[in-house]
Amino acid sequence: MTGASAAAPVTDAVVQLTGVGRKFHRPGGGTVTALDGVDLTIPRGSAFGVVGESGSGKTTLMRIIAGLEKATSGRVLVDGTDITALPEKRLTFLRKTLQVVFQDPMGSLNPRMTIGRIVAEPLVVQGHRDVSGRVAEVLEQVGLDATIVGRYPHQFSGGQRQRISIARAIAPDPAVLIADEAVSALDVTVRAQVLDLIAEIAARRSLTLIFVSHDLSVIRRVCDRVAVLQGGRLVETGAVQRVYDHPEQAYTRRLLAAVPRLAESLEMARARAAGNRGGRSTTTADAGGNDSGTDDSSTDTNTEDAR
Amino acid sequence: MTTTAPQQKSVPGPLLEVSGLTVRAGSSVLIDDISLQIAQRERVGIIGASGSGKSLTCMAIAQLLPEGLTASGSVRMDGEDGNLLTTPERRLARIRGQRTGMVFQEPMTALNPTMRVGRQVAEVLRLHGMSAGRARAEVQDLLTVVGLPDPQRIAKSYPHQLSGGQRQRVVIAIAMANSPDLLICDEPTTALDVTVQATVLDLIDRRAAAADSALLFISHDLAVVARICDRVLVMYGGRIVEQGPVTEVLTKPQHEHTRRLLADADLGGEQSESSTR
Repeated sequence: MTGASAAAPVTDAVVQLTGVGRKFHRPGGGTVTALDGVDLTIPRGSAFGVVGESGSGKTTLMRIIAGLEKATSGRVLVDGTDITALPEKRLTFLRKTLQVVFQDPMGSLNPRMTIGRIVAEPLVVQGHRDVSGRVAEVLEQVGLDATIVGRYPHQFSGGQRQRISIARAIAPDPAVLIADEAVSALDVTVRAQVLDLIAEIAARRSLTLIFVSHDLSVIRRVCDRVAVLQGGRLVETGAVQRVYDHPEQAYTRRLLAAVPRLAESLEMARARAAGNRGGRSTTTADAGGNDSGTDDSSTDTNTEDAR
Repeated sequence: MTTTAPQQKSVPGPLLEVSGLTVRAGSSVLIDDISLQIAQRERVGIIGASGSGKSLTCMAIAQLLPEGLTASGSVRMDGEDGNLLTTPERRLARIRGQRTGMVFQEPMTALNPTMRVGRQVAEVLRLHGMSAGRARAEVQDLLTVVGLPDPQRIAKSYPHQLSGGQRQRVVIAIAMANSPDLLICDEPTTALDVTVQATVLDLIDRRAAAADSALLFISHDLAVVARICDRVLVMYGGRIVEQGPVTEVLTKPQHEHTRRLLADADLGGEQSESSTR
């Protein structure tokens, strides 16, 4: 399954997962397997995408790497340290090595704290020497004016708030930046700007970027490698270009085919417009029969129905 | 615009005619004097950044504006007397559900969490005059038509027991129950997984075609709009800044904002592969 990642010679892995599993106990008895035997190597300095639909285990995987949750089996190495064996107290090193930008900036920024205090928080915890200087520096790096330190989160737009989250995340100079659906709550027009900002910061600071998203086009835009998850298992991993252009697994193909593409949609719209002279309902029924870009639209229905 | 109403039928006029629609919150203007028409069976999309007024336009047309907002201008529907903006709620309730159906982004908010799915579908049919016995049989049919497996089990389920895609199918079953003349969809697949989105779009497409319904369809995803709609309106700052057939607006955008939307939507490099970026 993980042939692609095993084949690629990885000289320096910043995150390495071996046989990682996570089971949850159902309140009423029984267990749910959120992750099952995941082997994954994230090379230092890469922009690594983790893509999957709901229930794929991508969020659980992200939380395990970030030390927010424990694997129930397997080993997780972050910067060479096995975090599965570490007691809670020793995980503080993770806070310096690894920072997370979450989906909803409003939920992750304390509304009662000024921007200055929010961004300073991880620095204060670490006993940084020039906190205010560093805060000003990172705010400027994310394209915000350093004079906003006295203001509050609600005074900013969604895109600006996500910039503030990014400033806070990069303040302690982490080796790994995890973006968990970091642009999913943003408007389309802002999304591209914030994505570019994340990619640019990761490149400039030689960060390892782990980008978790359900959105295939977002991953394609910022990542060089990608892992595809489905039902808690790793389906496929490899270079973004290779996986997107030549997916090896049926699920990856199905996932990629389901993304609506403007060129294809416009093709269908042209066909409809041409067919409209003959009556609209027949043309649309025809279009409905052989569209969706795949030859397995019936399996699509089945998969979804099974949930 | 010659691609709309088919010529072989004598169409009495547009299904929906909105003119000078303005929506205010106190003194601030949110929708600024917009006019639009939807022909019978025509499919019209609305695109625009958030805050551009797409959803408010739909809500104003459906007479479902949130408390505190006021609409002026006129909304007329073929076969209904007078301006819907000044029509009493009792008559509107009949129009909604019988002549218009609605599908919103989050199916959970459209469904009653404490009522079994079957009863919710039956309720719409009963409200519009069907007998209890016929409604019960019709519910099974409707749930089958929207592609739900084991409709008997689904009818007995509560919304939280269904997946997001299944819930949206139930909402579509309710919206289409009375074969409405106009189906209003506001980001109907945005909360769904991409593989589920494909099947739900397909369903909307087929159901609207089968019932001869016109569509007013909002999406931030331009490819989705092109997949479903004939004509598209581009909104910006509460105004319609551009409109035309999707095949023209999305390939030869005239307004700066439309060009911007196209550029920003192009994350995966679909366009950049063929042009420079």
